[in-house]
Amino acid sequence: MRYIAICFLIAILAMPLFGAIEVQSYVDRTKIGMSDTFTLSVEVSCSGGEDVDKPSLPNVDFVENLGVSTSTSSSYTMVNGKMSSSKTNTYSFTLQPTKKGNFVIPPVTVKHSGKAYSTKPIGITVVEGSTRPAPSASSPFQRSGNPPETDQKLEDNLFIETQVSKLKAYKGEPIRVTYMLYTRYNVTNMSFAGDLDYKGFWKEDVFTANKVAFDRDTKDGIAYNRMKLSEIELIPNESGTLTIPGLEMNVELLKRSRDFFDFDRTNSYRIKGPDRKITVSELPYEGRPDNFTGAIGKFQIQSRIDKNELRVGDSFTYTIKLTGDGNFMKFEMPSLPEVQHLHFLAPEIKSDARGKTAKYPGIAQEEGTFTIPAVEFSYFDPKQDRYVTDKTTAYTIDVSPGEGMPGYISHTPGVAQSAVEMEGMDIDFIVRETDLTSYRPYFTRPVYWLIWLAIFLLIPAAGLYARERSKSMGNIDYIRQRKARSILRKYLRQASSEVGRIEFYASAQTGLSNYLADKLRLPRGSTSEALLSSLSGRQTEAGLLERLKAFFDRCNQARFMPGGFSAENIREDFTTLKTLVDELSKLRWK
Amino acid sequence: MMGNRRIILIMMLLVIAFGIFAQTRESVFEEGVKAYENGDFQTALENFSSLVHKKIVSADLYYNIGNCYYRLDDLGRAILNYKRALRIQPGHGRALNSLEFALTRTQDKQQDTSDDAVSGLLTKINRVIGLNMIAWVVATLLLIIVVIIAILIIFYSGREKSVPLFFLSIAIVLFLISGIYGWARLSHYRNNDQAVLLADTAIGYSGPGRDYTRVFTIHEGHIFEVMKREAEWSQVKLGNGLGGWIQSQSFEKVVEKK
Repeated sequence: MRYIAICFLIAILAMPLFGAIEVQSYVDRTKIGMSDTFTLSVEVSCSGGEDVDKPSLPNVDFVENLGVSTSTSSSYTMVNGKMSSSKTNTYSFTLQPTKKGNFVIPPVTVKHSGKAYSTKPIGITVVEGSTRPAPSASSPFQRSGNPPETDQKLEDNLFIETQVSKLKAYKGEPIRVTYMLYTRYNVTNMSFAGDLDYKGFWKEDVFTANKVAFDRDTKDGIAYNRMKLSEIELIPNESGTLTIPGLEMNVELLKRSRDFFDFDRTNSYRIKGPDRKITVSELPYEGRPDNFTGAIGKFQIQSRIDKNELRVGDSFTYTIKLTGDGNFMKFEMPSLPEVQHLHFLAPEIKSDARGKTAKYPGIAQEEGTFTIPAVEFSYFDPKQDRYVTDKTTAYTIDVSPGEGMPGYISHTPGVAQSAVEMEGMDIDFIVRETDLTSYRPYFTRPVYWLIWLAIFLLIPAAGLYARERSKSMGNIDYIRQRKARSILRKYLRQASSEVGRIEFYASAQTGLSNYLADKLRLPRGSTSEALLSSLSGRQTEAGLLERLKAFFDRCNQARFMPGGFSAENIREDFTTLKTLVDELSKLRWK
Repeated sequence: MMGNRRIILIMMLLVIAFGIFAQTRESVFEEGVKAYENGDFQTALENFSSLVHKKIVSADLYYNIGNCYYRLDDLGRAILNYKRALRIQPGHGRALNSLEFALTRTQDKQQDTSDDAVSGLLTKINRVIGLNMIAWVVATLLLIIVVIIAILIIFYSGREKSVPLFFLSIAIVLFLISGIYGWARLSHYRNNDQAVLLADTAIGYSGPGRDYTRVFTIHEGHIFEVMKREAEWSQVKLGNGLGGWIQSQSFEKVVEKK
């Protein structure tokens, strides 16, 4: 256990020994006057942090070494709890040329742990006299140092490069274009100056810088701050010689003040990268397959089916996927062969710069075993200069009888739908059937106003009704008179149930006399004589009074001599009573 | 006995005559529809127009006439007849659609003036509610008022009346509002001053005569208002507010001459 721990500790301590070493060298200028000095800097970075031997300047006869200065910078970074450190030693040799002409500074070699690391050779040109005053800063990365004079040799220290992935292309073959900014100045701000016109190309943006972010790069032996401005993919539409325009930028540079009373200033410059010419040729006709739809590049085709055992009416998804490197946006997916009894709906196609996928929702319409044949896909491979045909695997599908009706279709979700679009406009069709009645507003018809009049007449009608009502409400005799008939009816009902018995006469007499009392507005219980005498004052049919009197007499007789009346007599008297009531009700009472 | 029989005979004759008359009206309409379906728009137009001459006022009829004129490439008269259909039935859907479409084909750009929310809402109300519907509403409200008054008279003598009076006042307010609206709609229906230009072009002058200054030029199918009509020249006002005098025979009013 202890050994393991010690081994682990040793391993950790030894890790810096295995750290990578990077050696870079650059000069501050490549064109040097005889009377000038220039600086050759050698940067040795070591991720471990231990010291590396001082590099030795190769022995050359065209420069004289005036001295060397050393600077050291260390950086520590903590990533996911793991600390790493790196140390950079910069050795700046001040050199003075001794000869005119073009020379190459040979690689500088640094030895470490028995391994030699060397830099790239640097070419310099030495001319007569002086090219410019020596820069005060030895390293362009020292931000605090004064930048080189901006009014001199601007294009050497601030420029845009147009990098293209290929100079010869086929029509339809994508070309990657990268715009890089190189600078040795202190850039504070920058912006794109207008859109570029890519004539003859179909363009797609891959990357566009949205903030100022530099990294370091050495170019021709000189170190620069480098920034990727934009990256695009161009697909030529025409053949011939086409021009890729250089990018134009507005760049603001910081100019530090030289004395105490001066302020820092920013100067704005407009710079433009070089145009590049591309030779575009047509795709060859020889060997072009029939199913070629314009795909150029290097592709792999794959296919997939989500299930191959189905029931009738079930849906499945057949997917074709293309991956690789090429112009995915510019060609059609290979078409699917028709398979009987398998119905494919319109595919859902997704394309981007990395690939292309087509999903075909399918429906099994009949039972049986079916084969989806291999799908062929042809493309032009510019590296091999020929057409290549690739194919997918074939699939077999077993369809068993379904639960539902044959031909039942269940819709796969995700099928693209489209709204119905209007194709044209016209007036509507004529009205075919109408009742041809002539229109006339009700307001202009007399019938309408007659209805109004009728409605208004309801008010006086209501007044009349109310008067009638109040009259009756205030007069008890009136009510008695009106209710007399219903009271009589009650007694008559009672009397009729007593027909055949002697009690009939009592009921009949009470009912009839009450009726007459109410109608004649006399008090209840008045004698029959009083009633008859009051009645005699009115106009009555002849004989009615006499018959009434006879009926009352019979009633009295029956009450005092109950034995003298047979059932036959009583039935006769009931008929008489009914006639009497009929006649009385026809009288006009007041 | 003889008299009775004669009256019955006359009545029967009247019924038959009326039946024949009705029959011919419908058959004329049907023939017009048939002619239109066969592409004979001229015949269809004559059939439909003859019904209008028989004093039949119908939105559908005017709409059909408008369609015939449209098919015969008489844009001005088509627009005029769509406007006539819409005067009778402001919510006639097909006439609205066809008018809107026909107006896109006129040389003058004419937009509905009802662009703001309030007048837009009013236009919608006018389309949904017909004049006769208002008449019914007004009559019904009147009936409600009278019934409430009657109830008051009959059952509420000497009693607390606040509840029926509350309903009565609501009914009276509604009655007045709908009555005023109906009255306004009726007067708009009767005194519609709109007119449609039937001539290819018309020049508007600042006074009744060619010697006056030219103010504007309008083209076939332009809808405007007639302020004053004289024998030769009429004072008109365009939708955009311009006023001027144009020749009276170059246009026709939406309200037909009696």
